[in-house]
Amino acid sequence: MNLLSILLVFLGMLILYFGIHLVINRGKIKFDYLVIAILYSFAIGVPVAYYSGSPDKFMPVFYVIYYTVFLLPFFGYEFYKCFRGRQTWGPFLLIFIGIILILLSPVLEHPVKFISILSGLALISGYFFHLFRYPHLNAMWLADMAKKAAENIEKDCRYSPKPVIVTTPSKKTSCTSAIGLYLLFKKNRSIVRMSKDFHQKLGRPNMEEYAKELVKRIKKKTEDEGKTL
Amino acid sequence: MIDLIRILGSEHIFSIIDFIQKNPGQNASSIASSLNIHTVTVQRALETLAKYSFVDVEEKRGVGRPSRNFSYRGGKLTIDLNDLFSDYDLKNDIIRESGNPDISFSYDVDKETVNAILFGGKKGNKIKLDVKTGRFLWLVPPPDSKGETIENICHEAGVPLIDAIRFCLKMQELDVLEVIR
Repeated sequence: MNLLSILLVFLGMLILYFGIHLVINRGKIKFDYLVIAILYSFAIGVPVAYYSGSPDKFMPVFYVIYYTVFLLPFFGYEFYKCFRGRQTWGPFLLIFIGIILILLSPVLEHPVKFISILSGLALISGYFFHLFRYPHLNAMWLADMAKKAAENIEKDCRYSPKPVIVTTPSKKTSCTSAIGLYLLFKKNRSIVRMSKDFHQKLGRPNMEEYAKELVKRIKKKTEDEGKTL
Repeated sequence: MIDLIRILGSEHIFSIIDFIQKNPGQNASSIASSLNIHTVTVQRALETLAKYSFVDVEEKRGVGRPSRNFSYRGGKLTIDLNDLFSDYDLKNDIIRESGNPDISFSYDVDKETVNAILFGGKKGNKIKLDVKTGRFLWLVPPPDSKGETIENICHEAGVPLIDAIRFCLKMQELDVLEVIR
């Protein structure tokens, strides 16, 4: 596999990335998330494409170590969200099995290899569909909503590192986060935690009002689309 | 004073006092095993009595942990009901966090409780909280909010009102909370 092939993989992933996020994030793409996602996609996609194209150069030890280092934080975080937020394990299993199936492709022979890649992509698409159904689980959408929620809130207020409790019940428990923001929806209340930098970035809004507004907007969005949260 | 009143109203207080009157210089563990009561119960009762000087404490150091030996001293107890109930009026006062930038918290999101208050970062001073006060502090609204009455938070946290009022006053002194009267 030459440099051109690697660049093609990279380009393909970029197109896929934009395509997916334009749908999943409802057209909202934020620069900081974009940089992280492109670098991450590049780091994940290129080795598997390279070894799938050149199985004779496959180095199992390097391959396993490389993907453990790169994928462990992602899976760890997804696992944490399921565990802490008591979410359903379905989406986690979809993305986990999907990625493992694609990662297995360099060691598989030709007919099975394509089935494995296609099945992996189908499962990953299922995960993206779940993100589309529940947009608050998507960090990029959440970051955009968090910024909008702060618009009409009283500014220049004090900060506290303790989470804010919003007494809005949820039908489904879930856990989500964006850079500097963490949300936990429990049955009887919602917990909103924000970092000092994030609070500063939003113009130091009144924490209580802001948390209420953010939870209200997320609930409204999911209710408008006929989903329970 | 409320802690002493609670201890005096407890089930085992007479047997504990009777025992240390007859057997001075005993530690909580030996009193507990002689009376067949839990050590923590005896320890709590004796420490409270010692706080109000109804019991003398002698600390013995040797092999292992230091031992605190208790002897009965006795004395007169005067209760000022006006003073005792003066704080009760604060139940309808509104509280919220002070937003002091030098204060941070160690908390557990799952258990919904504050474990400790950290003054001056992780290397600074630390005040550990028990489960009930930690739960109370967890429910206190953030700074610049409308706040919430002590009574309402108590009701939700399951903390006795008088304990919560004392806790709030202590936290106000430490600039963790602000009480809006």
